[in-house]
Amino acid sequence: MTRALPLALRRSLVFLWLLLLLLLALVLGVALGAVPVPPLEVAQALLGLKEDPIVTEMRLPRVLGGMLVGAALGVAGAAFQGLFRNPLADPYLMGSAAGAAFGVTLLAVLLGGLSPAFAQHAVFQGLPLSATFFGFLGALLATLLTLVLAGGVARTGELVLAGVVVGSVLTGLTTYLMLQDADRVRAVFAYTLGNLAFLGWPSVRVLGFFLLLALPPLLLLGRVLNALQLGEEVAQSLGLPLTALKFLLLAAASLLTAAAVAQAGIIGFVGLITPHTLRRLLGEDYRLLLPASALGGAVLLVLADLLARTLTRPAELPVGVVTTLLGGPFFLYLMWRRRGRA
Amino acid sequence: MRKILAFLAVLWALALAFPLTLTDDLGRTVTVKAPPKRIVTMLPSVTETVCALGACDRLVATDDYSDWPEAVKRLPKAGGLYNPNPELIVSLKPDLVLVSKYGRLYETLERAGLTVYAVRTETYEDIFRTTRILGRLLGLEAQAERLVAQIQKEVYQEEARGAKAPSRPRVYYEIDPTPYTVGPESFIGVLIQKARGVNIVPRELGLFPKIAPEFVVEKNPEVIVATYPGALEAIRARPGWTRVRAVQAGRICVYTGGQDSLLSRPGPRVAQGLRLLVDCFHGR
Amino acid sequence: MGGLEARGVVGPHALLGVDLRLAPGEWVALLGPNGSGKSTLLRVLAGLLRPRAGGVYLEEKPLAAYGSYRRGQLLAYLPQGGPYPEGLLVEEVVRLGRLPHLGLWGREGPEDKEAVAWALEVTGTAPFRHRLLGTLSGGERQRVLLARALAARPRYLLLDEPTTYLDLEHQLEVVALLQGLARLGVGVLAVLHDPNQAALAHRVAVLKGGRLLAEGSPEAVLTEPFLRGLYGPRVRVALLEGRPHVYLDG
Repeated sequence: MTRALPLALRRSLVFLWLLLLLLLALVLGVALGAVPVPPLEVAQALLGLKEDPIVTEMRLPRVLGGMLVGAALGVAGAAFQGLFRNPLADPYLMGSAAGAAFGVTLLAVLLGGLSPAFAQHAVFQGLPLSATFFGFLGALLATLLTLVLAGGVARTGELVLAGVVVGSVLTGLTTYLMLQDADRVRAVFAYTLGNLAFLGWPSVRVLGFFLLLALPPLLLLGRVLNALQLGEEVAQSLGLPLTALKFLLLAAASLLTAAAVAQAGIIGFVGLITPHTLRRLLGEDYRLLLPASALGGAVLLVLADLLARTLTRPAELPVGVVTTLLGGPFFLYLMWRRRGRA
Repeated sequence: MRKILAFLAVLWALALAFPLTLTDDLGRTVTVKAPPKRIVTMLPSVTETVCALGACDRLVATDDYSDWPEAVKRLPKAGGLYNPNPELIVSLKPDLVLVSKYGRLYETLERAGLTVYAVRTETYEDIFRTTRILGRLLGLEAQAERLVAQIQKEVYQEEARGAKAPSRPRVYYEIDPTPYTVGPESFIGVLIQKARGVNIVPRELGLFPKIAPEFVVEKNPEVIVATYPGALEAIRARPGWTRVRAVQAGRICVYTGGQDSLLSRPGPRVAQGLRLLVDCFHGR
Repeated sequence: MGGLEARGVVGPHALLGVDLRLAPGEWVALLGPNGSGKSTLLRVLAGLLRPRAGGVYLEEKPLAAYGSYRRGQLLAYLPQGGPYPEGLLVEEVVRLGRLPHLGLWGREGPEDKEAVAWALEVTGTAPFRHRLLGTLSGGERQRVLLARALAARPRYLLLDEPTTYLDLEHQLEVVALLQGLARLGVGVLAVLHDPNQAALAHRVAVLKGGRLLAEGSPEAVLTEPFLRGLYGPRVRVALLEGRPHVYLDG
């Protein structure tokens, strides 16, 4: 239906929709939860007329933090896909998220005086800045390793294969570090399936800081990503300092991945689904796709988390289970469509 | 003369008891030809029960986590549920291997020609059922009955101590910081009830649910029990949890470094775990 | 003097010492069998590959001495084949051609808009400026990519097989466009597959085994004995209106 509309109008509508959905996700996210709170009380709590820590200390930062994590993953996914000109690239499939998790865990082990018990819970309570930095190094190295193993970016199949291998190995190492002294399988699951349960205001501040650091360069470099879609040779012939730009893009996407992983564990598929869906609606102009992916990732993760914490309430599902259940079939659909085309 | 007759009767009973054929907790039929002399246990609670039956000297290896009594720490360690070491077990030529009903270790060992008995120890009742089964398997039935009676007596003493307390505090029990808790029908759930605490987690959520933090805050527990290192700092630092009564009153009991085993293993030391909870809920 | 000039270029890959000069306003066709080093020579001239020996000179200055943006303003390069950003608007693709003038942070001025409009106009792609590249036919798409290269208003245009995979009508359109550009003063160097298209150029250069085999006017180069040596004994050449026309015997 939207296909028939002029592109410019369609693009504006997509952004309008995203903003509406974001608002909806915010309202639903704050209004609904394990504990029923009447809407009036929610509003009063938000306005500071009535004290309710469940709304102001727990739900609101969890929803806002979820938005920031989702935005980071969405933009990182779009940037990876543009940078590698590969529609299946995303922080999860490229091994980048697993690298970040390994970095964060390693830091926790080092800080905890090699006491993995400390490490394992330190990871969840968020060691704010240094954790993200270690995660950043892990994500960057994992991505570079994936690229080396895949022998470049062009071969989609090899890239995914190498990413899965790197991701599995790093997840294995992370699990090993976490399981050192005791049988803490649940903790490992929680980390490899993502956890937004304890996102509080400190997490929101840390996420906000890193998003402010990494988002502007990415959003400003949308045009460079567009030029890269013409091929590296053309981009180079246009005079762009390509090596530096590619590294900057990779670093910014890795930093976003690391910031998300350090606060919320590994949440798969948000970085894949979001840019993909939006690309079908908006086209491939990264000046639009990057900000749209930020909004879309935020919407997707907040709604996924809403499902995770209300479907079985007052118990919770790991949020990664929800995103994976959405993303797995989506991934298969992409593969199937590509095969149909080839 | 009567003594001799009694002795002969016991021998006769033993001779009749073996070979013994039982159905294990996986529904497999297991035949033990004679009272086993070389036993491998792959569950900490079973190790404890075997030793409490006075058969510690028959153990030739245990799993990695068995650490009580002291004597078993020196035995070869044959891995855990997720990473067992069947080669080591086979090389020790045991005449009985006691494994968890989870995992497929029994298949490997069976193929190697070993006698394997799979045990389920999850609930409070399992403690006594397992003790009696082990009594039969090891030819120590009388000892098993005595052990059951003793455990029940100790448990009753602790229950009686708890019953004297004037109130029943609302309790939140956290086994893992992500956060996982325990349902009322789990082993720990039953201990909480026996210690006269009220678990805030409803029955419908199952044995070990991942709980919504805001639900815990809403239920406002008076006591929090946690069994992992660093729990105190972790719980205090959580968004919104400063409002919880247990946090405000400092009533967070953290059990680690061996104490957590008393609470997590349905074995002969259950009363000691119960004592920890009674102390935590009601003071000494 | 002016011009873009390869002087004794050796390596990378197949090139074994090539001298070639492209003057402003001149359109030169580069012919040669597969693996002769045509594409490599084009990349060397575009500054994308560095030769192992010899050098490339742009208006008498070593190409390496130019800043990369300045180089992009003077030389435009269009590779063979993709990738094509199917989801980009035609107009945005063409505007990317202004990047050498804008740099990373520059804002488009009237001059940039004018150059984009001109590139769209001259390639006949203005009618679909608001369509996505993926919705165009192969010929239309090739003209858009050419418009992108032209948007920088380069003095020299380096094209790698711009007519391959196009149907005949579009091939001729592209060739006509190159002739027109040369008349506007742009130096055009195009790697071509088809000697009959090369015959329309001002000058033909033939590369084989990394060496320049022949260079000169189409009539002088595209002779029957020469082309038989290059392509095989069945090649025939006829002169049509003074231009060589190549066909196969039988």
